Amino acid sequence: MKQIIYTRMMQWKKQWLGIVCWSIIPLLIPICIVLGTSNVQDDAKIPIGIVMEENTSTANDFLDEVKSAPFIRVQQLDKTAALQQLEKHELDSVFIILDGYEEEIMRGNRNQLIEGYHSDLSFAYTPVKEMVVSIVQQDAGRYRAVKVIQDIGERYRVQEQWPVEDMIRKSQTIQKDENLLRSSFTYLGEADSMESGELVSWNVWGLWSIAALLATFFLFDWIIKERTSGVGPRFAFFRMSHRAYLIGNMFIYTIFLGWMNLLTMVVYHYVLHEALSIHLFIVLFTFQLTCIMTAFLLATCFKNAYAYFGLAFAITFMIAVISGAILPIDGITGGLPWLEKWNPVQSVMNGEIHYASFILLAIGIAIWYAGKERLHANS
Amino acid sequence: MHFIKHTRLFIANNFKQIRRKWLTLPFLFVYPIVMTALIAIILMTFFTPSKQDPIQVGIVDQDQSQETKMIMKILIDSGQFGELFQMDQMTASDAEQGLVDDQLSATITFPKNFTSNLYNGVSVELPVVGNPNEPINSRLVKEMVNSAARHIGASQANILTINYYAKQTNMDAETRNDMLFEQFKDFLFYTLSKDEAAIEHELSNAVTASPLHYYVASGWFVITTIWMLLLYNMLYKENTYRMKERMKLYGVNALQQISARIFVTFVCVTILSLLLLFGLQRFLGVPFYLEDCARLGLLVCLYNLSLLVILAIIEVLITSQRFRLLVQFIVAAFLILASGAIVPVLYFPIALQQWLSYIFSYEALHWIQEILLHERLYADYIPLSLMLGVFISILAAASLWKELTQK
Repeated sequence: MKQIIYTRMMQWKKQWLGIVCWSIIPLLIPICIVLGTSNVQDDAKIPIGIVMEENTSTANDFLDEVKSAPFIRVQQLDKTAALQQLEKHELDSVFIILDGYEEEIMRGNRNQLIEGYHSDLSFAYTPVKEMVVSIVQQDAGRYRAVKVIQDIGERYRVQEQWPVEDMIRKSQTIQKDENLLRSSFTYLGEADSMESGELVSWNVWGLWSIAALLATFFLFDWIIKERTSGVGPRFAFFRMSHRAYLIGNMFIYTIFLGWMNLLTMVVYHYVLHEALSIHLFIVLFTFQLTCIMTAFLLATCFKNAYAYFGLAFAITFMIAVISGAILPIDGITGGLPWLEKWNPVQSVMNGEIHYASFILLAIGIAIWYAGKERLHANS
Repeated sequence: MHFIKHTRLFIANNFKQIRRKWLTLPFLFVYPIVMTALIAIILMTFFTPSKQDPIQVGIVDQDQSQETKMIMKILIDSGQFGELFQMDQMTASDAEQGLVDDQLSATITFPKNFTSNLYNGVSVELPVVGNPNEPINSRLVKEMVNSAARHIGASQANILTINYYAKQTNMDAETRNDMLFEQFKDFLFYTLSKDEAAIEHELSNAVTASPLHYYVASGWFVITTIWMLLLYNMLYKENTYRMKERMKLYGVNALQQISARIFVTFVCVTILSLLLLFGLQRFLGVPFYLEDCARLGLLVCLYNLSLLVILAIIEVLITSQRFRLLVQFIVAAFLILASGAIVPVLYFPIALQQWLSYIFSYEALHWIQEILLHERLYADYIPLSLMLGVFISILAAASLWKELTQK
């Protein structure tokens, strides 16, 4: 073992840049993705068109309120232009404030005051419509209340006149100040509610596990390189078998990558506020071991490093797609529970220790080790 | 002259290489199609929630007041959320058990004193508990409750305003409470019928611009991009140092090999991707003119060449194989994303949209879609050609610089 460590250190001395790079990259990629998308998402807005058929103060208030919504970008234009742009899918949807808006609102009537246009490519129509309708509803509701109060005033013969503006303002301040009804969201078994207003929320450990899989594949190219570069045949004359040498080196890499897992946990704890726990470390480390064994077995089958890298990419990409770390996959796994059970990335995302492929791979390594040594002195 | 001779030699060699690897070739060409189809299926199942089984929601009423009982009744009986949600009233312990057993996607609890707090203007919280095994359904329930809470909050502010003014009259407390309950009911139904506020129209785009067409075009674009990435790298062969020296003596440089590989990849992928495109066009029944064919062909050629030259530039600049592959992959992914093939560009931040016309993949897909989906009879080739020219110059310069600085 001592000799293996010694030779490995000699190798690393020359390749330190690659080693450092590929052990840091899985740590950095998720941070870049998480911070990058949250930046883009802050700026990403849904473009909608608003057509004003009347120019009254109520209608303008409505426009201002729509404009103040954080997730949309409002363009004010005339009807033909708006519909044309919608047809070309340059706008997500178009809302028209119909003539007579103010009059109807003041009467407390809110039916059919606006017209909404959307196309079959309008992905965001439903939430935008929901918001627009809620604003109309709110305005109309206030005038409805005004009417009720005026009725009361009449019935009980109140002497002083209650000005309408006061009533509206009162309702607005109550709504704003008291924030009457809130909803909170938690998952079963979780203590505090996690409130994220973002459309896309990443599973950091899912992203990490995909990057770690790729990086582990890439780190294990030494198996191919050290066999092809004229070292291979010499093993026949060593005290140690080639396999024992490979296993010993795998062990060194495992310890090294285990430390990297620990470092990743600490960095994510401070940068992305992920929780720290021993259980998590075990989850990550078993995943790392799964990656190492996969990379190890795969690399021993290859002679051409470039082809190995290509296949590593293909495998990683496929696992990334079917794991749900990048794409939402609940619709598929519902019908295929085995997919979830056998996918190690999925286990990391769920914070579970992954046994299935781990045991299978360990058996694979054992069979490989017990198999016949192919490198003979005369080969 | 020398350059062309050598390049021709390498082209012939590359074709031979392809023939020798005929076994991996089908994998190479089928893999992107399978992956793209898989991604499409995943996204489709995500965006079209199954209508057969509505989301199961448990409601717990801990308040048991007249008002909450009425809300319960409306939630459970009415078809208000009928298609998407199935609500059932239950006790708190049943609700929790339902979540554990995966019978429920989420539960909503109306807490004690819900109604009296609302009437007195005390802020109330509606807790929604989601099933961690069904995150998307849980989120949908949460969004629904959020929206309902917003409406109820607004209505409640109105009711409190009414209460405030009613208190100033000589109305007795009992009448006032009854009136408030009436108002509560009124506003509740008012809220439930909120969708009447808007008259909705669905505007159909041109027949050929349906989401299906849009995403078939995008999928084809993604497949073409990945094909080029794969084939170009499959043809790559690391020359040993001694081989390089020997080749140098014959006057061979890296640019000739790269040009040969670009040429071979370009010919193979362009033919295949055009075949795929015309096959898909047949399948979708899009009208088809000979001129369109020429326009599309030209656009595809310009895009394919540009991408290959970009890949070659990365190859020249980055010597580490692993790192090169990663960068090529990231650049290809970026180009696909920026082209609008995955998320339509109109949803991008405006600051990014301004820069898109400088990205050749966006330009290419934009014009391809204009011709294919919007039946435009015109395409602007100048920006693409200019960008291609710039990329070729960069490639030539980078490769020359590399050659000179190498010992």
